[in-house]
Amino acid sequence: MIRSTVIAELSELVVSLGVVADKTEWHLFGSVDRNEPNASDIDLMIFCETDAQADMLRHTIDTDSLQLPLHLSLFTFHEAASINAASVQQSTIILRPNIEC
Amino acid sequence: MATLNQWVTEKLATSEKRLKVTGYTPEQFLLIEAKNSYTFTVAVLGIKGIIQITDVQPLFAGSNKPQLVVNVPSNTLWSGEAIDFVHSQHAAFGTVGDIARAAGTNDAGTFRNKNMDFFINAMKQHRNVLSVSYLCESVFEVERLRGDSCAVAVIDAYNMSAEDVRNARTRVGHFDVVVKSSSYGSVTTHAESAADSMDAKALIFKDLMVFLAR
Repeated sequence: MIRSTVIAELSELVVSLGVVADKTEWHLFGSVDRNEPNASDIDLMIFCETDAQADMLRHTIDTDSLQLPLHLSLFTFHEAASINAASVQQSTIILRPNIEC
Repeated sequence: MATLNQWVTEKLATSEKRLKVTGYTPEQFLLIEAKNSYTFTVAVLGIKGIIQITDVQPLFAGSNKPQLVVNVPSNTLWSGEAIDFVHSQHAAFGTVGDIARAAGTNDAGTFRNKNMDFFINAMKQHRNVLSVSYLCESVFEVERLRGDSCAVAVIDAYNMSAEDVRNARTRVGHFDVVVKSSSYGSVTTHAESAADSMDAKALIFKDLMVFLAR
């Protein structure tokens, strides 16, 4: 229940961000991704194309705007790959704005 | 104030089933009841920028005193002086997300961020450390027996990225060392480079202990 609600909220957030979020990859992990009933925050990683995009997203995203506090980590794709971040966190890709599949 | 209190009340009602806001004190502090009937008071601030000691002193001037002080927005920085004052009043500081964590202690005034508490204790117990004090919320001045004092910034991250380092610099200003709070995960080479470019070091906990020994 909480997982689907959070994904819906994040989808709205992506739309509101517009081009700033283009070609990013949003990874959910932790208690919300596991749909745990007492999740206390949203663990989210966003993989970005550039450092500048990561900085812009940090500046733009309001971490208080969602139902639960947002714990946000931002990486470039290259950086995330270098530490195998998605695999280590057992994350799920939930959004890929304007990435052609 | 009323608007912020309402916002927090609604936030807790929708996201935190274990807590209930039962009313307000005359000072407009929230009265919060946990499921086990433990009740405590929370003051809600709405400071943007940096929370100073002058922002928190008035909260403790009346007959009812808050056991927890939270700020909206949550990313506002707490100054070291404000933190020390709140702690001296047997109270705690935090974010809206910390209200449930404080309730879990059954003595909200003793609530402390576990990660920060761990770092403070570990640094204080280091054989080359004389004292540790808050410069601000997540940055500590560490006075060493041998070697200069240094500013240690703690980042709440599983894996420390370059953006984490840049964001820390933007948020808290100068630091000599940036360390991630989680004991697992890693520091990316990009984060190390970002820290290098600021004449700082990006370290994991184990390496911080080695750094402090120098």
